[in-house]
Amino acid sequence: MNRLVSLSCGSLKSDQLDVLRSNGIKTVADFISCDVESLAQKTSIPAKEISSIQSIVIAQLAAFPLNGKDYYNGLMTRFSIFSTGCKNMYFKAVFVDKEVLIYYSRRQRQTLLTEVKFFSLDELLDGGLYTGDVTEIVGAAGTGKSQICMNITLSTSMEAKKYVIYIDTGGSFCGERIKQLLEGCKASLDDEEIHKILSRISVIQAFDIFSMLEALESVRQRLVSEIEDEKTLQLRLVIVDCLAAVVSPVLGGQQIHGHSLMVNLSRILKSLAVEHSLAVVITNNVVADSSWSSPFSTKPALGPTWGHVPSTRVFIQTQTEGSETNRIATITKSSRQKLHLSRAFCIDHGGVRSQAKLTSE
Amino acid sequence: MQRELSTFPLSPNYLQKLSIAGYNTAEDLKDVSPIELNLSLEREEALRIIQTVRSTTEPQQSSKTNQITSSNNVPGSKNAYDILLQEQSYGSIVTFCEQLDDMLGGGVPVGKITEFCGAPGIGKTQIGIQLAVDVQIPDEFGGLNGEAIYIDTEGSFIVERVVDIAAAAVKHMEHVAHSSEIDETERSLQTEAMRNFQVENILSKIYVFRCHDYMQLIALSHVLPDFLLEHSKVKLIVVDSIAFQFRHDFDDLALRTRLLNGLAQSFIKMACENQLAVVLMNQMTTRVKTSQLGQSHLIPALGLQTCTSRLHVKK
Repeated sequence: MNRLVSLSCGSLKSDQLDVLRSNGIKTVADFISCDVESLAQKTSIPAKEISSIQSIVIAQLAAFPLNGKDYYNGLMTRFSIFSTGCKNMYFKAVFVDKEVLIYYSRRQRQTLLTEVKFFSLDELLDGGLYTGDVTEIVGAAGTGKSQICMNITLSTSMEAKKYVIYIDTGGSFCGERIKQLLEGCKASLDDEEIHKILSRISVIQAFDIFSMLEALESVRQRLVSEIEDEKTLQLRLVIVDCLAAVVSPVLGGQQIHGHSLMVNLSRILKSLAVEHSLAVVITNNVVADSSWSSPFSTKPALGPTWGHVPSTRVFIQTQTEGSETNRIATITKSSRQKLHLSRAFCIDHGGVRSQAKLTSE
Repeated sequence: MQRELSTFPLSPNYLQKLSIAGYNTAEDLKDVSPIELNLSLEREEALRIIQTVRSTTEPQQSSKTNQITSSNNVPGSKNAYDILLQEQSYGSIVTFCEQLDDMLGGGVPVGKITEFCGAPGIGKTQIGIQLAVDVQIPDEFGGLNGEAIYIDTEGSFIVERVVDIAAAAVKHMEHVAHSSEIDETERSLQTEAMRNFQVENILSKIYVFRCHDYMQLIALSHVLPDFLLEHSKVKLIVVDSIAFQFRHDFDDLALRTRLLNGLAQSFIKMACENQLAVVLMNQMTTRVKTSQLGQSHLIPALGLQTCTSRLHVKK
């Protein structure tokens, strides 16, 4: 909570502030939660004055109620669903009949879905990546988390023509690979177009949690300040790959501070997603899971506290059968989709592709 | 939403003092002078706290001179096109083994972490030494003309072997210079470059750090950035092996994971900021599957997850 200063509660005079501070009332929280009568006795400020200032401060701090209809309309102006860029190989889903967005009227649904193609990963995510959601991709090393991230990045930049911020903590962002994916999607592109598509992607390298927080904060500051440039207005996607790499060195043991840093990180990610309607994608590592109840031998890293942060969680596993590696994505947390739905996909030269439907559903 | 002071890189001691005095968010410190801060701290310390908070919250003011160019960007960000161009200019370290190079996309990549894991005696150290020599191949031959840091934790760095490998590399390059079909000016450049590519020179450009325990290794990871400032030509760091010192004397396995993750982050930071390749050697461990009784297989030790590419060396 904020420190008590004359600015935040205009009617307090500076000499009164000093008296309050010497009585241990230092923050706004101290002030509004104190006992008025005893404080009035100690400070010789009239009790009436204190309680009237208190109610002003409380009114300033309180959240405003928002009409559901206004909220909905406000949301719809910036709402979008982004494809993961996962291409189809075996089947073409018909998405016109699919009753996904039951909350939206038919007309809106039509306009929303014209650009969304239901291919395996998108289908798993019920259409793709929603703005306002924090989507987490969990998997061990080499399961294809970064590849999916780069795929999402490219498809958002190329198809939706939106700006993307990619926060890279492990040096896994690869420009060559992006170019390769681009060439896989569209064979003939001149340099200018490539430049256009790639310059919509900003990459920030952050190797520790403080630089990560700083990067996210500076993104948020730009959105708050409402700078009228395309880059800020058209920013719709933030990717953090890999989040666990910067959080896990400070987490656990005797380090209480690490936990607070992690929670702060989750607050800022949520704020980016919800208040600024961005699609936020994060990746997480796995740790060994020894419990018998779990269907996987591993579980997401960062513990149960972090489990509340992402609104959608996709678990990726690899299964090796002979020389072939099968990658299976399973949804383990979602507010829209049936849980434990699985889809197989593969990664090749041209990016992430869906494989034939899994029979076990 | 306001940013809390605990999200700034300040020591817990300062944070506690700030919190007692009622300063909890960055907003609170906005218009406070070091004298006003009055935290029973030295003036300089107070100034440092304020500078830390302000430099991150008000980045625009500090970089007013290049605001025209950077105003469109979030500080510290690069666009993907620049990264692509940068990557194309980096090059990579060839291993002299064509198939291995192909697997890695032209050699061990600069700016990334590459992990080699394998059972004892499979040749991990040999690969490490070979790379430490290969990184020094002169520009004229398409090499990186760099220097190498070799962090030896197992005591397996055998200098006689380095001499052998270096001599073979010199011989090979001489052969290339004589046999390839290029014009005279290029050939003379290559012969000129060969004069500096001799066994003694190669040896003098490999900096060996011997680490006897994990504390030394972690301490070294903190000192290396300064070393790299002085030796800007270093293009390769080999850690042989990352696993050894972490596989004994550890009761607290969570602490081990944390230290390893921290170590991996500092290596990737060096790799990206100094444009060098980091090669980690890892040992193998046996995992027994509970589901299939009696079945066991070898997996890389320590469960490291940060490397960009991982190579499994098998016989």
